[in-house]
Amino acid sequence: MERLIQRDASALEELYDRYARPVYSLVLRVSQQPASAEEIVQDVFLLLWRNAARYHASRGPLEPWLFTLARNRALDFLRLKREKQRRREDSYEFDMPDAVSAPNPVALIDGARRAERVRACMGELPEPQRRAIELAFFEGMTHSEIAAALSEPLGTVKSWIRNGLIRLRESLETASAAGKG
Amino acid sequence: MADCEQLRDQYEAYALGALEGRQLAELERHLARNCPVCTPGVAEARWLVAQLTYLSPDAAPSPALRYRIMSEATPASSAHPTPAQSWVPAWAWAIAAALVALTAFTVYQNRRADRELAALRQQLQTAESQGQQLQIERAHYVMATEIVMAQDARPVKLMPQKPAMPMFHAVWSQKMGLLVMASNVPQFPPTTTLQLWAVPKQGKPLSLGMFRPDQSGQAMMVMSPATNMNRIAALAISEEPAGGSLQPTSAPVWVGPLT
Repeated sequence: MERLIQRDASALEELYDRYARPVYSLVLRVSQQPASAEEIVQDVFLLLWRNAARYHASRGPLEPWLFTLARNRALDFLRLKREKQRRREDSYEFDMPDAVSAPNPVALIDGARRAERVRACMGELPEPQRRAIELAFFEGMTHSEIAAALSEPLGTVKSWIRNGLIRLRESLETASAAGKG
Repeated sequence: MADCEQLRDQYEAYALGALEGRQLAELERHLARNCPVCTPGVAEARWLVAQLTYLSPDAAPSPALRYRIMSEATPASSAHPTPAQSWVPAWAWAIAAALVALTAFTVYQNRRADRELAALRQQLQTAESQGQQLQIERAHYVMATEIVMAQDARPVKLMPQKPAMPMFHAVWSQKMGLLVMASNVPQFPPTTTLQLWAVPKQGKPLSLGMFRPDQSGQAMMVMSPATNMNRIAALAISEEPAGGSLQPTSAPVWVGPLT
């Protein structure tokens, strides 16, 4: 990030090469439109480039912070599309995502293992429970919207989401402990 | 006010954006006063939620995107900040203020000019947006041409597994990437998407991305050479729920062996 703040373009290239694929995959999953997804990814990396000085270490590790920024932008796009308000936002004004911090042992697992673990853990959840988490994450739905979409009681949806994420956290912690052992 | 112990269960839902109503208001009150328990708790929940990014089916942006980002970023890095141009003589403001205050006609004219300016800006933004869209489409066609013209280009036919479906043509080049296209593809329900899979000689299918035919039934997808195609036995296209799947959930509609 220091190099990015110093306007070192090669730092942006390295960052892009490392994160473009997961960021694009996420944005495409949310937006459902390849052309719009590329536009949003372009926005995300240029926002980071132009506002690098506003990011600092206290906001936590870069990767989840960048994912959060990308998700927020993609969900903004989705909401605008839904509201049919396709007015273009000023690309250079945005809300910085709030601080993100990894639980210490979990941060030790590398990205590839974490990705594998996340997919495996979510894959083991019963379909409706996984669907509830996906609707919240990829479609930005609230508890009551998910309950309506799945025709399930509100309390059930809340429990599914909470328990699913607790299970994910535990799975990542177990993977970390196994990696250290 | 709820205590932190009661709010602990809400951290993940808050980070997801799923929390609402009274519970949301309570937690936001704690965060607004930098609650020493809830603030780090929510930061950890944000980290956990960000990991769900890995549930997205893997897809690669076009190589043109990297070029566009770098070419837009690089001039910005060397550009000098434009000097502020806000200096206006005080007497000019005074005259303008007097005119505005005294002449209703001027007010009317100013408002009309503002409306016209806003309309022009809107038109400009629309044109800019359409221009970007055309730029993206052009980049895709350039990439498709490069794949077809590549020396190591190999054609693949994806045969329909259902009646009344057209055939898909694919061209892959280890150096330039993969192109998949077809005409007269029927429309699929908006709740589904077409998903392209690389079926390896061993192991599970690998998602290469999602696409939909346009209204005229044209379908095209290009991707960079991120996958080692030498390990791939066949290409397949299946109909999946909107948003795609980690693994195929239905029998493929098109299949083409890589010989």
